Amino acid sequence: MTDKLLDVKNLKTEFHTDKGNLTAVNDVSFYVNNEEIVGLVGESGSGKSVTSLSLLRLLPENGEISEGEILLEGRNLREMNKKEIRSIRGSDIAIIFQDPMSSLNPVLRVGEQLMECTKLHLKYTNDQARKHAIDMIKRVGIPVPEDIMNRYPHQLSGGMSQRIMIAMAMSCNPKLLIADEPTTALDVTIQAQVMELMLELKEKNKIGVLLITHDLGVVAEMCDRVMVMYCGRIVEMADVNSLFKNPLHPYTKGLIASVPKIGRNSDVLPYISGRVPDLSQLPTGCKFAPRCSLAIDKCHIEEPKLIYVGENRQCRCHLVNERGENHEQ
Amino acid sequence: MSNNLVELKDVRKTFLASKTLFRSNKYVHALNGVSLEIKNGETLSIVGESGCGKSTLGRVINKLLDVDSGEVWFEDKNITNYATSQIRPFRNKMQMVFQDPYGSLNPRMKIKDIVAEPLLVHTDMSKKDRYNTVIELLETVGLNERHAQGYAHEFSGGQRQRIGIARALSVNPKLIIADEPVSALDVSIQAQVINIFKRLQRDFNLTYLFISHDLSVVEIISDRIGVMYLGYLVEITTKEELYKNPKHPYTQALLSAVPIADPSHKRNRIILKGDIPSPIDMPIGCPFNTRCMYAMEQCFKTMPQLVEVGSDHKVACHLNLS
Amino acid sequence: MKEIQYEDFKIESPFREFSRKFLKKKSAVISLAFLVFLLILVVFQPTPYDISAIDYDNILCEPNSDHLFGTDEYGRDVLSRIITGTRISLSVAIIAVTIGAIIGSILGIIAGYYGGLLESLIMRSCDVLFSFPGLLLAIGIVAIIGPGLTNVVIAISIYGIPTFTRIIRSSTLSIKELLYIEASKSIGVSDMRLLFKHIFPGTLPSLIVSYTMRMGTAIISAASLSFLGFGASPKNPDWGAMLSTGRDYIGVAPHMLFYPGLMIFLTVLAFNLLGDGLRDTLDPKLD
Repeated sequence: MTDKLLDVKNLKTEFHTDKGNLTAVNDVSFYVNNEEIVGLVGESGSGKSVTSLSLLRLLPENGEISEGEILLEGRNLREMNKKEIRSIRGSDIAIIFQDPMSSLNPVLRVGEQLMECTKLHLKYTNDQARKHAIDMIKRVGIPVPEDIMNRYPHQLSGGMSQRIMIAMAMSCNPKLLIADEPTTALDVTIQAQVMELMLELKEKNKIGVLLITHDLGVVAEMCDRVMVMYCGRIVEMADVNSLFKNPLHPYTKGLIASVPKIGRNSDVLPYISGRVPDLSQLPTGCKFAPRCSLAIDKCHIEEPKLIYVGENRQCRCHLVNERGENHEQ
Repeated sequence: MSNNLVELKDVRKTFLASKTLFRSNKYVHALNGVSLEIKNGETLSIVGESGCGKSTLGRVINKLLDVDSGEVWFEDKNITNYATSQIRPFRNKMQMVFQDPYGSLNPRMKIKDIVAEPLLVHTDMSKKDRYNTVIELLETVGLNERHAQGYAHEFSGGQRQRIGIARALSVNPKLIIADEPVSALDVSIQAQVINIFKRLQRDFNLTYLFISHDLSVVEIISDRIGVMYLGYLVEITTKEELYKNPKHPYTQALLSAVPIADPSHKRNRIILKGDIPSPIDMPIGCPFNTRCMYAMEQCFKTMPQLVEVGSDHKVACHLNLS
Repeated sequence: MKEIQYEDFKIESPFREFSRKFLKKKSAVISLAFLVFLLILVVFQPTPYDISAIDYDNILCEPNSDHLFGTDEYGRDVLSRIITGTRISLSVAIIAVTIGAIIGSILGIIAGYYGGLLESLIMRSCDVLFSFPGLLLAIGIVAIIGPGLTNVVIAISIYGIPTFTRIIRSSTLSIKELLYIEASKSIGVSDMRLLFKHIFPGTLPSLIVSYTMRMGTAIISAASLSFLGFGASPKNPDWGAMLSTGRDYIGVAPHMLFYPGLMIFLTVLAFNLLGDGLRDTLDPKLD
């Protein structure tokens, strides 16, 4: 039990809007071990970003975690008061966002922003913090760190600012790094650099990473385990090889099939018809049923449960469940 | 009449970056002498990273932007110096589909009015005829009459992009310039929209200029692909040739950097060092020399010309010349 | 190719969406109700007494069951005069602000869309107008063209123009950079259609909000000018003029000062609250 770095149990996050209460994340349970990259994949509106914000309790004012536990090395983040959670943010758990440009404060020098975290959490002196910051910039592969320290964010390129964000996130030696679409805003050649850097940091610092992305290519190249989210629910969880080799859930299958692959040279791409339903108008039963070509009557009436279908492998689908039971008999 | 719908001859375009009082003004070099042709009925894709000038290229062709020098030919007419009033009749032959399906539709107009706007500008159809055409168009892209009464914000990204396509189709254009039309969409939706593009090309005999940063998307739709870097066209060839036999080191790096959704796939990735240089302070010589692992002395002196290295395969690289 | 058709596709017109959101803003709704009530007074003029009927038996009466708001120095009914005054004050404000808004919007949209020398010319003129303290400008204009209600309207309109010009110019500037404007250009839409069909409707939300806010200011300005004797003649029951007369009787008949003052206060407050509410509902950023 204790080897789990982060253990999330039955997380439910709701938003109070003028359309009523919307459940953005529902019954989400997962864990992240040390030295492991776990991917959280989903399309827009799947609740993957809300999940990451819930973990650090960074939800906007109208959002609320209504059920569940978030255990970081056994401590429940949900029950902490504001001061305690603040001491966790940035020190034990660090987060990097999609858009590096707007995550850096434009009026402060890069160096100052980098030193802030160690001064705050590790009580470093100015000199210590400066030395540490320069060290961190070197470690994320930027030459002439002293020069970078004195620059303002707008003087950095996109790839460079994302490296700075990673340096900032890593500067207090976090145990868990949450990366919310860290490479989406970057060009492909720069994305390759940043992915390489994150893999390297994981190895060296032995941290757990929760990687949130919509890009199955990034998942395949970086993650150890993957969870697929749809409409705020986890529909499938598996290690990365089995997920891509043998996806069980029809949504996962459709998702993987619709990714264009270089060299496949097919003429028509398979796709999932329809669109992700609005949170205020979720279908009853399985949330994917209206788009699922395999849906049976039961799928439209009763929502399937997320059950284990193998060691370390879960799936939320009536068809798979039934097959699993038959298999056991 | 030649087989080329569009021809660009040594097109250059700069933007003023900052006005300085005492020193000379700084310019963003968006296009640095690009020559290419788009043949009737083909799909030419332009691939490149941010700041490579690919979007400027699209806007130069349909004259949303004027060139600094060089020539733009459309249907064997030199339209480079056409005034706004002269170009307006041409606009129905080349329509655009934009990247951002959220921003490119006026939020205060009903879908039927958005799709009908080109008809209103370019034809003198009656209101009823326009409406019928609109419904027909919406059905072509998989929407229906009920959707015509809606406003843009009620639609998902994929639906909005289809509305954008319907608008572009309304005046029976010859050329559709699609600027990153699927990059803002989710994967499962991307595939829907790409398939629509492919089907419409067959049904309406369209020519596409498809601008994208994503080499995996481009492969499905293109006949020929051009790769741009910092305002230069560095390689242009057929799709098959580009993926099998990329000649320019940048193309090779770009191809190897695309993440592949298959964990069992092992390969040698070329990781480029450093960042894309700023298009304001361009490197001297080959623009790629700051990141190229093969860069030789000559690469820092002169910009290589785009030359034929095989059938329908042009590359701008000193390596391929020697 | 078959696409799934959605039964849940509901069309909500922008107006319906707007009213759904607006009705949740209580203070704005109450303000609107109050202003509608004033409008009814303006239209039907339910005055209990003749406003110029002099009644020497009831001079400076305190509020009582006959005269709810009391009487003035000639025994005229204050309530009746206030109701008539509503018509004068509101129409001055509405006419003045409307003129200012029309001229200001046209100038603003031209400056924003065409830019260049034209823009500099328009905006610098606005800067000049802005450099005077507002009321002083109005007084100056009235001093030049002479007192009277019509001239007060002209003065307030001129003084309102630069505000609208600035607001409309800045929203034109931001809208003309939007992608759907470029999309329309690429279709071949003409400048005029672009300006009036695509850009102008986009500026409407900020125009409506500033129009409402300006109404409050205009009422105060009109009242101030009348108070200073530049506006309505004391015969006419303008709120500002009533305040001015009432000032002389502040010790013996404070109600003569209190009720017109209260009306000015409530009306201006209502316009401001309504403006706030409108801004909150119309501003997409607050969604």
